[in-house]
Amino acid sequence: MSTQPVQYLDPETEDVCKRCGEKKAVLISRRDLFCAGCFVWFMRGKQRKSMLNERYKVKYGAVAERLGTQKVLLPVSFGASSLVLLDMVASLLQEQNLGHNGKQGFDLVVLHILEKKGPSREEAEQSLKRISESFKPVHIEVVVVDPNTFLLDKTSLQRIQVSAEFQVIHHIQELDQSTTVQSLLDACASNSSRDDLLQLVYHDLIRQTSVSQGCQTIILGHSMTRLASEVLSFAVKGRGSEIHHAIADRSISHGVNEIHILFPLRDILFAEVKAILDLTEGLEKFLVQNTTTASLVKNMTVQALSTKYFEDLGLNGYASTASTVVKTAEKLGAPKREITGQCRICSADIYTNPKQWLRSITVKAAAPLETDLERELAEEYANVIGCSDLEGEKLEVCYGCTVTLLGAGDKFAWPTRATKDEILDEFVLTDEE
Amino acid sequence: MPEKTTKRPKVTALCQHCHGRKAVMKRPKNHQKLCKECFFLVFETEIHNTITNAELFSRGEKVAIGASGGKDSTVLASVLKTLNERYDYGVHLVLLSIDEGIKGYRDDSLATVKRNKDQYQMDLEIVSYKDLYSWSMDEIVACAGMRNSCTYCGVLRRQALDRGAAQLGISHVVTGHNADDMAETVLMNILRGDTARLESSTSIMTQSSGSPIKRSKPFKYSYQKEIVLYAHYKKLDYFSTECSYAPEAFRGTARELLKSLEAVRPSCIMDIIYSGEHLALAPKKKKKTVAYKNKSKENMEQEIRPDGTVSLKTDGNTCEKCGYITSNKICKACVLLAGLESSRAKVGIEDGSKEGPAKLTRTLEQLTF
Repeated sequence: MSTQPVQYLDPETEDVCKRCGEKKAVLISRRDLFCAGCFVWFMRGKQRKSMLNERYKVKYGAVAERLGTQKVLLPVSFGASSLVLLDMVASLLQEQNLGHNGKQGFDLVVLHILEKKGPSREEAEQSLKRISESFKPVHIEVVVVDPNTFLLDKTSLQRIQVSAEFQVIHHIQELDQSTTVQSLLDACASNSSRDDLLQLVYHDLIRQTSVSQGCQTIILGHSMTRLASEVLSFAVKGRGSEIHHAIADRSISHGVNEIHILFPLRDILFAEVKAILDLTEGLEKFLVQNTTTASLVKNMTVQALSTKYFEDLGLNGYASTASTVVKTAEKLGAPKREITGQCRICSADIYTNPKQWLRSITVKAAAPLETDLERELAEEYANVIGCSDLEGEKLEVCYGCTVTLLGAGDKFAWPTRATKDEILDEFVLTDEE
Repeated sequence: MPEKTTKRPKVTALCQHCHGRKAVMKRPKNHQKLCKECFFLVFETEIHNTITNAELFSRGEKVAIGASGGKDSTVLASVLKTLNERYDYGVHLVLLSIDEGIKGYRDDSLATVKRNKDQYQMDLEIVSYKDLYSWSMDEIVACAGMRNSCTYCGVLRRQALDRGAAQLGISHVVTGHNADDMAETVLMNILRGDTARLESSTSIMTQSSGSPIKRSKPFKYSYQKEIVLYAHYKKLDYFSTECSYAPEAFRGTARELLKSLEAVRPSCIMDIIYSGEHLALAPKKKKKTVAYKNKSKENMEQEIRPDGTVSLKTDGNTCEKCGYITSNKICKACVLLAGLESSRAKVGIEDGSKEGPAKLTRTLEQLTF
């Protein structure tokens, strides 16, 4: 009996695939013997089950009139999960195209966001073009986005500091032409905070690209293992109130549009995703492996630690824990409290004021001075160091971002989201204008 | 000007709160450098804030401190005595200990609790497994094996605390669960998919309608490291040996993960507790059923127990055997004891030997060859 989620068989084995009964089995997964073709087909079935909604099928007549042309955005980072999902979705489109005389249920837009350690723009476009051509006659649109696009609609930077009283303070700093997302992140002192803020940028860019390309759906290549580690990361970062929202198939409203966010690989473990990548011809050469050089625990991020935890569980025969965590998170709902505000960094809802919560459990009080020497030293301290009260306007920030900004250090600057009043002030004309 | 007898501390080595004394420690919660007096003050004030925010105590109440002799309960007794005098809660504090009957471990820790009784001038009540259940842990381990011993001990201890408090006429038990324990519990409930406990895993006060005893955790926001530092600087007397029968495999993996995360994100324990307070289950969609005309509404309100029987009481379920609160017809402790009873030998061999495996293990550890 297998204890690992995917167990490859000896090439000399005589076992035959349990599904087709013809070809030789190459692996054991979910307690079954599989040949290469049947395993890939089995996994594709799971992806298609999650996209059974009518808007992704080939539509005729009145239904086509009602739903119109559907566009689906698939962000590809050239990791295993996004490549496998691209292959699955493109093959689905290919079947629709062949079976329905050239009609497709939806149009596919592939998005790649340039990364520091990833391929260059030319390499990314070449790779995606080659992948698209292998699925002819399906047409796949390719979009490559620079992360500095995140700064285009921001008018100013905010120098953000967190005081000893856990109040988030900000004041305006000029946003000059040479500022990039990377330079902002380089000013961040902590690895985990840098990773958190980078994820913020990516989510924002994906949503922006979806709106600008007219897509109604975003599909993300998160496997079950990835979703489980996301749940754990959210819990560890103080974002428990966002778990129910972040990993469920959901819809978000953006102006008059509605964008659906799906996770088609949610029932597939990452080990199974890697197996699909190995067994699918011509897909592995596009894989960009981000070599994880972080051997020290101190250099890892919260996300990396969670991922490593679940992978270790999988190797030890407890891969079902990831499934348990994801199913538990799907049962969660919004907290049973009132929303008191919205974060200006990540736009999450705030249910409990983080400053008040932290201040009551982290007291900053001094025991009274008793001797003359102690009073002398206190005066000396005041002369040398003095009281360094931070100055600036207050900023409403959720708990997770408060801790992220605490880890970012004092010299950190970041754009904040405009409130509704600021947007109205910018566009409403007064009598004098 | 008389000559200075001690070296004058540098300005950068001074306490960050009072600025007048030399800092002797770095606080685990926020890495501030503090002197001893300021650390005592902020540690105690935070626990006071926790108690008053949650309204744990009421004047005239009798409160039992679950005392095991370890650092958590010892510091809890010391801090509660200090705060009761300083802020005048008006509660009467009592030490309540459980004797599991593990020779070589529990008898030594109970000796510590007896010394605490004298130091803090509190009453002490010791409830023994042997008296309540006719079984000691040494006998349970001999019968059921060491692997499952934590299950028996946890179930029996939780009920023994309630029974001991009821004997003393006390309706409030405080335990020394700290922030690290709360964070571990949140993580474990997520990893095990225990949705029934997920919402209440960070509750500071737990009480059910069927039981008169309520429990609370004043140390909910106190780090374990700070409790150790407090005990160290106050020179408190506590017992620190681990239990002899304690294999905790699954809890260990969550604990290891927590320690790795703490190296990466020093505030992760408090972050997990903040997350735990915001976890809530989505409301279930109520299925509409056809209401039959013949049935009256009273009959439709009957509660069905998990084992299929029907509860006739409206104020919580109680065990048919011992009368304590339970979700089933018979409580877990009685089920476990019945299982043990069927395996018990009619006649004991070696009548004179009363030492269990724990004592033997400790004796072997001290041998030298």
